[in-house]
Order: sequence, then C-alpha cells, then structure tokens
Amino acid sequence: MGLEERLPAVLTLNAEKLINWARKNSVWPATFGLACCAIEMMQTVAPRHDLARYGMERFSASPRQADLMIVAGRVSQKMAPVLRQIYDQMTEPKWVISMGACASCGGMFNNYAILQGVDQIVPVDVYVPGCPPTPEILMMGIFQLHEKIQKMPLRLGRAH
Amino acid sequence: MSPLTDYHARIRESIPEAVLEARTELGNEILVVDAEHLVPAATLLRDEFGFEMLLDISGVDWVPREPRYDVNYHLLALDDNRRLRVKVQLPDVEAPHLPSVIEVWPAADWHEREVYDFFGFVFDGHPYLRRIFMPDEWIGHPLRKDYPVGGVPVEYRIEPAYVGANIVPSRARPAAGGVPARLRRDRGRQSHWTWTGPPASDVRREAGGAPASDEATPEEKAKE
Amino acid sequence: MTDVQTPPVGSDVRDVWVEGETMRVNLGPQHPSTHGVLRLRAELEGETVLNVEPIMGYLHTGIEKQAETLNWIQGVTDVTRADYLSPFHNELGYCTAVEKLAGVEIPERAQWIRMIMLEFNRITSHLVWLATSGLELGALSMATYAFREREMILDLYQSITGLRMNHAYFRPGGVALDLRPDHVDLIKDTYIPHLRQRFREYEDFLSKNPIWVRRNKGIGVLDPKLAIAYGITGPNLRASGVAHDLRKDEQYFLPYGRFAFDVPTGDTGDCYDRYLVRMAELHESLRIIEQAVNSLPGGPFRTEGKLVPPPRNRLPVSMEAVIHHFKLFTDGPHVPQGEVYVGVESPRGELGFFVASDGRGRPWRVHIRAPSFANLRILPEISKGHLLADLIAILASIDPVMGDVDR
Repeated sequence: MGLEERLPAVLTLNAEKLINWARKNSVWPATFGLACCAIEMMQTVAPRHDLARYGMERFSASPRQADLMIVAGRVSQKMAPVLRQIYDQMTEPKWVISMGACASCGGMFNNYAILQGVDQIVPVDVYVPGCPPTPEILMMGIFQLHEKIQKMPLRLGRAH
Repeated sequence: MSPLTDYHARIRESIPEAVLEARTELGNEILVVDAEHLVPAATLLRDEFGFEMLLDISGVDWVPREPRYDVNYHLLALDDNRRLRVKVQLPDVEAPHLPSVIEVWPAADWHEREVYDFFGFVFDGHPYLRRIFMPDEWIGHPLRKDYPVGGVPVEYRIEPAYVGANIVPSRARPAAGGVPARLRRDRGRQSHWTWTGPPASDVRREAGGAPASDEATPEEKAKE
Repeated sequence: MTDVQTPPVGSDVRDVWVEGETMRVNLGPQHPSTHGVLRLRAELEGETVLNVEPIMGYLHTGIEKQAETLNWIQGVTDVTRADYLSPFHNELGYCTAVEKLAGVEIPERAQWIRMIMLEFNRITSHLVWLATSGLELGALSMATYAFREREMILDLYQSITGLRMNHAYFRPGGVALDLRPDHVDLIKDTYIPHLRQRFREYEDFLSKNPIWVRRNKGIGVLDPKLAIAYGITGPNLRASGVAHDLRKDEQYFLPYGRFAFDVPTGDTGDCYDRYLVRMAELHESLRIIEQAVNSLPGGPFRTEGKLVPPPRNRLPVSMEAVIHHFKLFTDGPHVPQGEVYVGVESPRGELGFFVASDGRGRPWRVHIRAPSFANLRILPEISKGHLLADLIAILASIDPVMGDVDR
C-alpha cells in the first residue's frame, strides 16, 4: 500500500492487529440484495439474528461508504455489469461475500440467463452455501470473513 | 348453450373468416382466431361480451408442428368471472407478424414486448417494441425451441489431494505429497517472520512468477 | 437474427437524457428503495415527476426455459423461486395445472393443508411489504416488528416443510409431508392469538400516524377503469373499489367457499387505501386459518397413483412400488398432452400458470402470468404530477416483487 510495506514487520505488528480489529467490528455492507437471499439477509438484520451486534446494521446504499458487498441472489446477464461497476466504486479495503448457491456457482439455474457464479466478475472472499442460506449460516460466513479480516496483513496489497 | 358458441356465433356474424375453431379443453374455453382479424374480434369480445381485462399473452413454440407458434390471449370478464383464451397460430418464419391489441387492452403493452423478446414475433402497431428482459443488444430469442438452454457443463471431479474422500468421507486422509496450500485450513498463511512470498495463486502465471512455497503447481500441471 | 424493423436504440425520444427544461434521472437497479433490482428512469421537472419508465430484466432467471428441462416433480423447486415472497402460491399454480392436465383430484386433507399454508404465506408476504414500505418511507421500526413476526411464521414453515423459504412443499398430487397434531395445536393456541394481537398493534402504529397519512393519502390514485384496462388485480384493484377476489369464485379449485371471510375494498384507490386493504387482509387470512385448522379433515395428504411416489415403507415389500419409484425419479411422471391455464389469488394479484404438456415426463411450456409484472405497468400512469418522494411511496404501495416481474 505504501510506507507500511517497506517498514520491518515488528514496527507494524500491533498497529496491524488494532486496525484489523477495528475493521472487522464495523464492516458496513452495501445493499446488494437481488432475490430470495436478500430476504434472508434482511431477516439476519431482524431482531432474532441481530446483525447489529457485530456492527453491521448500517447497510450503506452508496458503495463509496461500504466495505462489504454481500451478493445476495442470482446475478443475471443484465445485472452483471452493474455489479462490477458497484464493486469498482467501493473503496479499499473491500470484501465480497457470495451468499447462496446462485451467487456462488449459478445455483439451480444453469442456463443462458444467469451468471454461473459471481466470482466470474468479482473476487470473492467467502462463499456461503444454501438456497437461501438461513441467517445462522450467513452469520457463520460473516464470522469467517471477520477471521480473514483479522489475519489480513497490512503490508500485502490485493493482487487484482 | 355454452357461452363459447355465443362468442363464436356473434363473431361469425360480423367477421365471418375470423374464428377458425372453438373448443373447450380441460374446462378452459378456447377460440382460435385468424391473425388478420384479431383486432376486430378482440374489440367485439371486449365491448359486447365484457372481456375487459387482458390477463396475459403467452407464446408457445410447438415445433415440429405446422403452424409452429401459438400466441394465447387470456381474457377475463370481471362481472361474472368468465374466462376465455383466444389463440392465434403463426407460421414457421423468421419473424412472424401479427397485429397488436394495445388499442383494445392497454395491458398488452408489456406482454407483447415480453413475447417479442422471447419468441421474436413482431406486433404491428405497437409503439415501442423493444426487448424487455434480455439486454438490448442480445441476439436470439431464448424461448424458441432451437435456442439452447445454455449454462456451463458441470463436472464432479475427484479431488486428488485427499485419498478416500469420495468413498468414505470420514476416513479421508491427505495424499502423499501433502495437501496444496489452497485446501489447508489456514490457506497457506505465512507469519510475518517467515514470509517467503505471495502464494502461487496470487502470482500471475503469464508474468512468469515463481511459485516458491506452494506444492500444488506440479500437481495441477499433472492434472492438466 | 430476426429481420425486425424496430427503431435502433438511441433514436427514440425515451433514449434522450436531457431535453429542454426536464431532466431524466436514473434510479438505478442498485437502490435501497426500489424493491429489488428495478431500474426507473424518471423524467423530472424540478421535483415533479412527468413520466417514469420502469426498466426490468435485471433479475431475469430463465425460470420458464429451465422448467422445460426439469421433470414435473422437479419443476416445483424451479417455479417456487419466481415470486420468492409467496412461494406456496407459485407451487399451487404449478401443481394445480399438473393435476388438471393429469385429471387427478387431491384429497381433502391436502386441500386444507394447502389453504392453511397459503394464508400463512399471504401473511408473511404482507409483512415483508409492510416492513419494506415502512423502511422506504422512514418508519424504520416497522421493519423490526414485521420481521419479528415473520420470523415466528418462518419457524412454523421450517417445522412443517423443512425450509424457511422456497419450500417445494406442494407437489403434484398433494403435499410432500403431513401436518402433525402438534402443529395444529401450535397454530391454534399460539400463533393465531399472538398474531391477531400484533396486527392490531401494527394498525395502532401506522394507521393514524400523521406522517404516514400525509405521505400516503391522496397519493397515486388509481382509477378502477384504468386498473381493469391495464390488467391490475389483487389488493391494488380492490383498493380502487372493485371487489374481485379469485377465492370468492365458485369455480376456484380450492374450497374457500367453506370459510367465512370478507374481501376488503377501498374507495379512492390511493396509497393509503392500498395500505388499509392489505392490513385488513392480514386479519382475514387469520380468520381463514382459524376456521381451517378447526375443521381439518383426516385422511391421506396426497393421492396414490402415477404422479406421486409410493410411500417409502412399501418399497421393501412391493416390486411394483420399486418400479414406480424408479420410473418416477428417472423419467418423470407422464402427464397427458394438453394445455391449461390456472389462476391463483396470490398476495399481489392473479398469479396465472399456463402449462402445456406433450405427453412426456417434462413440461413443453410453462408460462407464469406474473401479477407484479402487470401491476408495475401502472406506475407511470399514477405517478404523473407527484413528487419524486411520492414515487417511492407509490412503488412501495404497488408491492412488486422483482422475481415475479422478471422470472
């Protein structure tokens, strides 16, 4: 990224832990609910499986202020360029959770209309299976993402 | 006397060549109408028999039957819940034409666009006949029978990094030669003190990057 | 590919972005208030909407084409994801069409179970409408309350069908699993009184709220003649005063005539009337569920015969059952040739299924008449002259589901 890449590791170690802890505890998702998975994503924010406990209830409509894109639902051919544009508009650091079978691999719709996996156009960090995944499974995916964020080195830039 | 014979008789009075067939199938009443006389027949049905609501227009591709295509207009008379299906049959040409009923029922607007998008029928008289679901520059009409379903071939390969995984999953053990970094639980994470370079998957192959610590590459090469 | 003389993209006045004093604003497919991936191109003069053009297709899934590749039983799993907020209604339309084509009557208990699940689905769908409408107009706590009740009902679905959403529970010939006695007791003793009380709380919450009334009363008035001409059905039509409900039709294939319920209508057809109609429908659905569980008949939950797999306890003892099971799951049930249209009263309007069979194990054509697709057509007509903020209120009150619109 910059100066942090050239400093010896021992100087940035504690800062890295602190910064990653701060990042993982307030990930702001971008509203990218497409289909049925979006409803389960909304249920995750609902009172029972409260996502606000993890600092993630602030869904940001503007991608400039979002950290996480939860691709919740099937991505059609017409929507794919829009998805890439929203991903490009997000600022670093950014992560992508591919929620559900349709976003991960095209799901049950192996046809002309659906992109067979959103990882064809954006790099995905966590794949959450299910059709649709229940809120518990989505939260498990989010915890995996938190672990990944915690271990993310400050010095390593993303290779995309 | 069923209402179907009423409709047939009344249409035959003013537009004799319009109705080709009138039948009842599985409780649904069907009038097969000639494409040319569709609009006057539709106007008559709406004004005299109260079919004020056009519910849907659906196309069917009956290849290899001739006439190849069917366009069904599903009508509803709200007063006494009478339903009628008006069917127009179209020949097997590249772009069959038929008149638009948008003047009779404004609801036909988007339904005709949908049928044009999926089948390629041209509705003469429609003010804005464009694709509605597929992207504007899409080529082909997906719901025709000669248009493939599409998608990708799905293969279920046996992962060679684990021996026995596909036979008794609980007794799977790592194969000789180790498990590639991308399948390990820690994804080949390196600590700050022993940093040896980015994992092979991150290094672009075309640039000739050296996959230093990842044992997967010779395996993957052998697979391919 | 086709030799069609349509105007090339860019030549129509609708493709021009700024002309004179009006401005065209794009409310893109990714937007918090467009109920999914709907793109609206609004022509504005200041804040007043002169015209709005909905552009759809961002969720087109190819459900109809996919259904031609799946056999008649697998088709339920495909079709249930069209209108994902009311999956049971999709399944009902498809299964009833298959049953009509095959000439099969389902047993009474299956009909009752179907009606109970359908009315619960109407409740969950209206709860999501209530939650998202509240969210879009600023009543954020409405979403919290509505999703809390919906979570309860999703627990019930999970207990009965195995899944929270997109259940594939209705199958041709009946339902997949039976309703247990403790489910019936749960519905009778816990769900109905609790939900009844909560729905009254929701009415207290919003109906007399001055902000809610100001944002919804007089906005988006839909004339009944216009509604009928554009093929609008469901609560949108009923709020304009036309008391048309498929469940009250004697020819309807489910015996709703056995239950006493009213069809709420509105008088002016504005957003507030659409809101009141849906709130009243919540109560009516509870009435139907109560009467249905109190009169639930015994008996089988699905037919015997060609459409339905044999009970699993017969497989070890009967060779015919094994052969039937094998043929059913490899080839699919053979449904006689024909075509049929079935209309279902879904929470959004008339959901129609036009199914054509050519006599084999897979459908030849499945077409879904989507109520949201027809209902969305009315958006340009009723939002002329309103402000941009009212456009959001109108869209919320029409309650489109993009999975239904785009299929």
